[in-house]
Amino acid sequence: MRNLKTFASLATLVPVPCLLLSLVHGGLWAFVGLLYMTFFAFLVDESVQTDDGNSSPVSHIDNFIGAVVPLVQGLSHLMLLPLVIFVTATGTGFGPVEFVLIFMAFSLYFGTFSISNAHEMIHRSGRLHHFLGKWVFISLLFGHHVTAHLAVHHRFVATDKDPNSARLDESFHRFFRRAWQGSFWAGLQVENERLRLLGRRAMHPANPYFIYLIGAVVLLGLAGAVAGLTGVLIYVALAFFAQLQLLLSDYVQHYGLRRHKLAGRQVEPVSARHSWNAPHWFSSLMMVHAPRHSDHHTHPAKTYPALLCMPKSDAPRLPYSIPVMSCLALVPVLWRRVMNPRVALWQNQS
Amino acid sequence: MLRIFFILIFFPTIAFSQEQSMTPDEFEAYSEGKTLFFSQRNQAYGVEQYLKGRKSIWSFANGTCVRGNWYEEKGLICFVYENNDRPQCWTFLKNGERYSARLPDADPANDLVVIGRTDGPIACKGPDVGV
Repeated sequence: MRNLKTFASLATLVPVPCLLLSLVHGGLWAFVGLLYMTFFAFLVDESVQTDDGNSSPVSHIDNFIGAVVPLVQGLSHLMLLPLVIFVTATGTGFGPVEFVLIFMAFSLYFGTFSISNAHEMIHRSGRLHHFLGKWVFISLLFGHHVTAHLAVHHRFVATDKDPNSARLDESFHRFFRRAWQGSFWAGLQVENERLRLLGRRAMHPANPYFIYLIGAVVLLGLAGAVAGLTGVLIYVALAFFAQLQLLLSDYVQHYGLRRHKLAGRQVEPVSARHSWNAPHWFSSLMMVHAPRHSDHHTHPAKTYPALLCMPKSDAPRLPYSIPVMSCLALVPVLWRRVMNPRVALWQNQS
Repeated sequence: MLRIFFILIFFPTIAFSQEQSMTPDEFEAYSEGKTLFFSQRNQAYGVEQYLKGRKSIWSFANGTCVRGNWYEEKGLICFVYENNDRPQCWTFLKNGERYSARLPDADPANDLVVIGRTDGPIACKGPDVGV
């Protein structure tokens, strides 16, 4: 059943019932969700053959599932976020260990699954998808990423003009600060430029940054109104850990790779050689094929069922899955030892 | 229950996801000889009359007319107007009967939506009026 492959993308929705149940029945369900997202995913990644290929054509059913799954995930996210804030801030039934388990499970889900699905959605031209993806990012207090990702990262990827393309030897901690504010300001510049093209002044009300910022403030205010200061703190912490995971995957997916300069002020066009890929089938599904990163950058209009995992001779490949590499990125000494030789290998190919 | 859920998701998904970008030929067929009225966020934004040979006359809702022409580059429709050297490149989109123009990668909420398409010429404020 070829469509089994695309039905498997429901993997990105599996944690939702676990997370919901954890709010009612406590830490055990959070633990189950965590196990699924970490240990189980790791086991399946290691035991299933990595997914080189996937050249089968995309059917209507694939496209339908590919359109619906991110929508369902986005709606689930917008339901889960206020629930977890409310329940953990006002609930008295959780012990500290339970609270930690629940917090970890939710922040892992938001940071990896919600963000991957929202990323898929903002890339689509359909208004519904873009709207929902935008609001998932705003809900994670990261609205500016919508502009910055599409109009800065995709335009300038693998050059120093992209704040979200990590430089060689740059530690993740340094990258986090630089990319966060760099993308904020670069995105704002893009929006003001667009307004000028439309014959409007900078910071005209049509600037999406108003929605990003006011949306965040309103949501924080709602959290405070409903769940008090504790609620706001939990919200900020969840958002922070989600953003951390997003920037970790940006770091991991472009570290050290740079487009070569051409004559004059040009750089070579984006090719498969400018992204790091991970062929692990299961974690890739959980992240709606975000790890098929080279194909995504060379064909950003492709929806996730159509993304190809490129062969390792054509596109840089990470030694471990994205989640594992993200953990490694937190230890700069180890990270450089593993990755710098690989960067050199790819950079020296013309 | 699950079936109802998926059906509910199905229709808006299909309705809102059938946006297609128009090729330059499609855009030319749609626009040539016509005058398009654009709104942004439900407010009148501007009007453009499209003439043969990929020429056009643009006016903001409260502005004077400027002449320009368009060409295709990298799949986008780029306009150059007499008052500005820099080309502005757009994607023109069609979703059923909804036509709109969008700057590359921009928020669909800021689309210039076509709210009228007539055969009549653009009404220009003086001094340079009409074709």
